[in-house]
Amino acid sequence: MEIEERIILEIEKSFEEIQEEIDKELLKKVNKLFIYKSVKLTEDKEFSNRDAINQIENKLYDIIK
Amino acid sequence: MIISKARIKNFQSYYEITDFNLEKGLNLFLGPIGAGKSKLFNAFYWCFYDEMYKTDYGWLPVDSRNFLSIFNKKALLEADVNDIIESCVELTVITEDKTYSIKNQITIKRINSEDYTSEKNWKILNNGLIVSFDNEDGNRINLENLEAKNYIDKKILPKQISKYIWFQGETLNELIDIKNGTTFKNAINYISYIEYYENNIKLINDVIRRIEKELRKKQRKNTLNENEFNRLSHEIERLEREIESNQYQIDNKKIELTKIKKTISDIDKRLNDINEYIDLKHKKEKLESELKHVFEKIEELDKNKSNEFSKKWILYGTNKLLEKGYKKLNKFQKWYEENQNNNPTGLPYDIPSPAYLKEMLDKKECFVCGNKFNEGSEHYRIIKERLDYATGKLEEIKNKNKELLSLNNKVTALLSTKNILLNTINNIEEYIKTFFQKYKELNERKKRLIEELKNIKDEITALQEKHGNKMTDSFTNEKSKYNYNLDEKERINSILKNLNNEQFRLENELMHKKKDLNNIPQNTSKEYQEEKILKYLLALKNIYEKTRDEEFKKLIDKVEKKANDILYKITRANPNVITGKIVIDRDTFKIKLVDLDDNDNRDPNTGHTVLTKMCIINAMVLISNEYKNKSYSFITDAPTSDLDDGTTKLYYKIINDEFEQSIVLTKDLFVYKNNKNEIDIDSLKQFNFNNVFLIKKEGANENLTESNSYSKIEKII
Repeated sequence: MEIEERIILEIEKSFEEIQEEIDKELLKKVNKLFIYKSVKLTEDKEFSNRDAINQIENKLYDIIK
Repeated sequence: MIISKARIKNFQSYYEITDFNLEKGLNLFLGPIGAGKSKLFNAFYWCFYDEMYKTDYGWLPVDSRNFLSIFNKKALLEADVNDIIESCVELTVITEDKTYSIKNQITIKRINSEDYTSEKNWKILNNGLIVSFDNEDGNRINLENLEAKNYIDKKILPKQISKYIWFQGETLNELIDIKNGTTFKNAINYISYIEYYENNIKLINDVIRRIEKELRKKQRKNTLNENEFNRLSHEIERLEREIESNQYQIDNKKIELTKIKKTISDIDKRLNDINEYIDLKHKKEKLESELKHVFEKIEELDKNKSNEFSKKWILYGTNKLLEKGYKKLNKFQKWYEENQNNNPTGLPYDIPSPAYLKEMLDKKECFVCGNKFNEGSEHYRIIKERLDYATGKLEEIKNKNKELLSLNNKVTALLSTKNILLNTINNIEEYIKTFFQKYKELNERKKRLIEELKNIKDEITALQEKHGNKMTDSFTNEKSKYNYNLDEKERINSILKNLNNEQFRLENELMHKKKDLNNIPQNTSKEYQEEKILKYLLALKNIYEKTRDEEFKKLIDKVEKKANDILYKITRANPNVITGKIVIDRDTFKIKLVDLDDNDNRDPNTGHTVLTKMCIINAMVLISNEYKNKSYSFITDAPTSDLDDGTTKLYYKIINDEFEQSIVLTKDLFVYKNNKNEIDIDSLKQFNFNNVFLIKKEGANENLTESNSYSKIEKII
């Protein structure tokens, strides 16, 4: 199993404890979004922090309406 | 992960091709100083990461400026112009799902006959790293250079954690400085997912700031107090910029501080080495003078052995013979004395004394029959004959008595030597015993001194190899550099303290400003999309922070427990020595070895400190393997130099038991016997060390250099 998949599972374990009104499935998507961009940041030298923020921001507007 | 095969060609001290297989469990490579252990470690590291370790510099990439450092000097020296030499290391690595061939190589050509040790006289023909494996479809995949490097880093052994899994004894303090909690905290970050959590938290924070900015833009249009909203918005953005810039400075100062600490630690090591070198030199001189004295004493005893000792040796055991002789002399003396008292003339009893016979002749009367006689008569003639005979006999006896007297005098003289001679002979045994005892003691002392001297010379050579021959010349310079860096450290620490205080103040102010901004009433009540996004981001951020903190706490508990398990297994072999337990401070992450009764005021010795660090590192690697469900081949060079023989073997036993595969390079399992270092094979078998290799130098018989000798690996168990 890849590191990112392990982290996803580890973080998702705590989702059940959230008291606020939050769509857990949506939160899973947000988490995956961060993890994949974060992995890309460490692996792809040409992918900058600013690129990651821009892409995440755009995607967030798409998935959280 | 298992490294199953290795092929090394013309790499550093390894000339031509060296092949060997590695097994699961412990693979022990034993070699004295300079045999080629660190070069073998370099071979593994270079093959995986294209870097080499250089004392005082750390890991350096191999490039056009230093590529000859990879090559075997003998191979370089033997090359003629236009000759091509290849240096390569090829490892076969087996992981849970694949078998890899990892090969790093450089091929060079000699372009002129000038200095063969200079890079400018060689041309690189090709070089590169290749990772080959069969994919799921059975097709052979070959990845080269950067792609190969990335693949190793991601799939085989991440470089970031390799420093805790493949390390050299001398870098132990850099990996875990028990007095500097940051090193342990970093190590935990590297071996766990903590760093990934940190990176994600940072990214979430960046996105939160961006979304908050967007939110403010929208809220501005709907605010009831635009001026105040704008003022606070600007304040918030200014504070965010200041916080970012301040954080940038903090990060830079931290990097600067780490570098300075590393410099201080390096200089400190060099200064310690210089002091140790001076101490060793003094010890060497003292030992040499002591050894000279012992040699002189032995020489003196040898001389005695051939002179006085040989004389005495001849007499040894003659006391019985002498006593027998003295008895005979006593007997003679007794006889002589008795003879003298009973018969003073010494004439036989049937011969009258001449005086008696003469008186008869003078008085012309026989005192025996009472007859008178005349001169010329038969009686006269007979008595006269008797007188002549007795006189002659007496003369004869007198002469004989003189001889006897002389003999008696000699006997008396001889007897007077009895006590002295017998005492002397009786003391010869004691003398011989004392002589041999002294001889033995001196020879043992000589052997001890030679051994000590050899060890000291080895230590001096090791320090000279590390720092060059003129290391003492740089002492003053190093000392002043050291003091300068200490001042710098203090200065940067003080700047950091101020920056951190400022950061705290700015963040606090930002929090208040945000609160104030949120308190400004809006025209209409509506929920912005950004607010919803922020709700998810903040929830995610909280989860990451909580998971990170919990993971960290869990890991520290586990590492502490595992480290203590290892420490117990090692130290229980020395029940009469104070052991202790390892405690990790949860606030500062400093590591302490405290007494079993929790007394933490102890001052651990070097051995205990090294042991503590090794227990922590091993525990971290084992926990990391368990945590990540991975198993990496553990490779370490000279980790046990400060430990005693038993502790060293127990440490290796634990490595053998705990790691799926470990490769240990060490000089520590030799015993000094018959004037040379030997391996105590029986003791290694006792510990079930079943894969033991000897690294030795071959080539020249004496005066070995890098260009006339090379390392050979031989499996001995």
